[in-house]
Amino acid sequence: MARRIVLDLDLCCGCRSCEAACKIAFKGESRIKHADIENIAYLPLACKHCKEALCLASCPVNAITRDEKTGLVTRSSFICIGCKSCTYACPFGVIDAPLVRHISQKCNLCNDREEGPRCVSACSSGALQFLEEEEIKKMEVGVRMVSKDVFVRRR
Amino acid sequence: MVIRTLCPFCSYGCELGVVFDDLGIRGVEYIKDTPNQGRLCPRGSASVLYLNHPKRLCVPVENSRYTDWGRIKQNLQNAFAQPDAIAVTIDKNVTIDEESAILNFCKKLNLHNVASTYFEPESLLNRLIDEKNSATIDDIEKSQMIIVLGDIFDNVPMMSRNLINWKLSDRRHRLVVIDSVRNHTSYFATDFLMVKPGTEAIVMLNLAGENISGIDTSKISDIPDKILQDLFKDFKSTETGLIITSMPFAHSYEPQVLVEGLKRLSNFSNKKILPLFEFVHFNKLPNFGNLLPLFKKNRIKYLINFGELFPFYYPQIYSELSGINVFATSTLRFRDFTQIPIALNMEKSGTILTSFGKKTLRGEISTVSGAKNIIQLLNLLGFETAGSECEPPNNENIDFKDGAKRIVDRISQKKDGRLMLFGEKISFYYLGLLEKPILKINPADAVEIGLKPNDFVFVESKNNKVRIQIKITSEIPQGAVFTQPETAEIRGLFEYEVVNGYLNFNPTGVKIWQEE
Repeated sequence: MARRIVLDLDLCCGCRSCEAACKIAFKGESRIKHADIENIAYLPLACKHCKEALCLASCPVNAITRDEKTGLVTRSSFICIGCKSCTYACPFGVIDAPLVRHISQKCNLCNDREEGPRCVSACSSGALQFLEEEEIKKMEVGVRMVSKDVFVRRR
Repeated sequence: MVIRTLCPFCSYGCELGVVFDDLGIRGVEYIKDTPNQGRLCPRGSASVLYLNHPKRLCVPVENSRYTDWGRIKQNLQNAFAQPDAIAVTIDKNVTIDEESAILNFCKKLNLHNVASTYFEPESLLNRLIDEKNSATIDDIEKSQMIIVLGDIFDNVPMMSRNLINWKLSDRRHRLVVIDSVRNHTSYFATDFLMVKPGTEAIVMLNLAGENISGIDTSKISDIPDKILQDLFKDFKSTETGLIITSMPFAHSYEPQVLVEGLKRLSNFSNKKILPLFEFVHFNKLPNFGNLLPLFKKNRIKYLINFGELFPFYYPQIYSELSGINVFATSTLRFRDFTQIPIALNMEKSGTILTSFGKKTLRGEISTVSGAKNIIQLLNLLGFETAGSECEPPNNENIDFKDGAKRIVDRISQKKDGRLMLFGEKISFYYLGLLEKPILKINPADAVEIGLKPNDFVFVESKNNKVRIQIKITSEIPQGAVFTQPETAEIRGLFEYEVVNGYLNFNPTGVKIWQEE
C-alpha cells in the first residue's frame, strides 16, 4: 500500500524544520519548497506524486518514471538532461533545477530510509505525517487547499 | 553507523543521531525513542554541518599562522607571571564541569578578572532559573492562560508542539502573544498585542502594576490602556497561568529592564515563568562590561577566552582589543589573534543544563583532530583542574525606572531618515549554516527607498556596512527593519552601551540603499 505525506495545517508552526532536514540530507538542495502565503500560513510544499503526473508527461527523455507498485514518481539523475520541462510543468512548483548541477531535484519520499521521509521525522510540531492512502481517505477533513490528498484541516 | 548525542544549541536539549560512514559525517538521523521523539528544529538538523564546517579549526593559530602547542603553552605561561594583567572570559559552548574547572583554575592562579562574554539578552533570563518562580515544560498543560513574549515558534520550534496541543485541547485556553512584529506564534494566539518596536519592557512593567511617573505606556507602546488593563485583570485572576519568554539579540531596548518587568509580573500575578535560552550556565558571572574600563586604562594586557565565538563575532568589541594579547578558544578559523581549537559540545563528555534539568553528554563522537575540550586543554597546559565546585559571584539589582526613561528617550530621538534595525531570532538562519540571514522590511518603506522583492541592499550603521537580501513583508511595522544577527558582519551593525556593567546591544539606526 502506498504511503503519502500529509500536512495538518492546524499544527504547522512555520519553522521550516522539514526544509532543513531535506536540505541536509540532499547536500544543500532542498526538495521541499515553502509557499510564504502572507498572513495565512507558511506551508511546506512537497511532491504529491500525482496520479496524472505532468512532470512525467513533460519529460522528453523519460528520466521521470512511475513505480507501479508504490505509485512513487521518481527521477533518474543519470538520464536527466536538465531541460527544466518538469520544473515548468509541475502545477505545485515543487520541482527545482538548481543552477549548479543542472539536473532537477525531485522528492522520492526518502525511499532509502526505512522510517519514511526525513521531513516527517524532523517536523517539530508534528504537522507532517506519513500515512497510508486508505487512512488519509478515512480522515474527516475539510478540504483546505488544492489537493485533498495532501492538506488536512481539522477545525 | 549512528552515534547518539545531544543537540548543543538550546535549552530544550533534544537527542539526535549523527550518521557516520567511512568518509566521515554523512548526516543526521532522527531517533524515534528519544524524549523529543526524533523531532528536531532546523538548528538541530544543521548541527552536523557545524561539526565538519569547512572553516573548522584543527591546529592552533597565532597571528594568522599555524603554530604548535608548545609555543601556545610558553606564551600562556609568560602571561601567568602577571595575574593582575589577565582577564579570563567564558562564552557559550562550555559544559558545567568545564565551567567549574575554569573557575577553579582562576582561583588557584589568583586571577580576579573573570567575566562572561555571552551577550545574548537571554543570558539574563538565567537569573530566573534558580528561583522558585521558574517553570518547566510540563507547566504548559496545567495552565489556563499563557502570556508569550516574543516568537517561540521561530526561536525554539520544538516547543510549538506543546503549545499548539495545549491550545487545541480546550477552547477556553487563552494564548496571549506580545511582540513588536507579527510573528508565527501570533497566528495561533487568542490575542496578539503588537507593541511599538523595542517597548516590550515598558509594557511588561505596566502589566506588573508598575506605573512610572512621566511615562504614558499606551502612548509609548501603541496599545490602548483598556486592553492593557483588561489583560492585567484577567491574568491576575486566572488560577493557573504561565509566562513564556524569549529575548533575541537587539530585539528590544534595555533587556535588563525587561527581565525586571518579567520578574515583577511573575511575583505580582503569582505565576511562573518559563525562560527559553541558549545553553549557557555561567551567567551569574559578572558581564564583560565590568572589564571594559580596565581594558581602556591598559590595566589588562592578556585576555583568555574560553568558549566559541567571542571576540570574532563582535567587530565593535574586537576593535577595542587592539594592543591586547588575546588567546581565544575557537571552533572556526578567523583572521587574527591566537586561536586554540576547541571541541563542540556534541563532541564532549560532561553535563549541560536544559529545560528538563541536567543532561549528560556522553562524548561518543570523536573530536576533530587537534581540537580539545577545556579540561584537556588546561591539563595540557600543566594546570590541575580538579577541586570542589566553585560558586560563581552574583551581581544584581538594577534601577528599572531609569531604564524605562532611557527607552522613552531612545524612541523619541530624531531618526534623520534612518530606519531602526532590530534583531530577531529564527532558527532556520542559525549561524548562516542553512541560509544566509535576510532583512525584513515593510512595503511602505520599500516603496520609499525604491526596492523590489528579493533585491540586495546595503545596510550601513555608524559601525559597519553589510550587503544583504531583503524580504518585503507587512508583518514588519513601518520605520523598522528586522534581521537575524547570526553573522559577525550583521552583529557588527549594532551599537552597544554599558549599563550596570552589562553590555546592552541596542536597536540601531541604519541607512539602506540599493546597489547600483
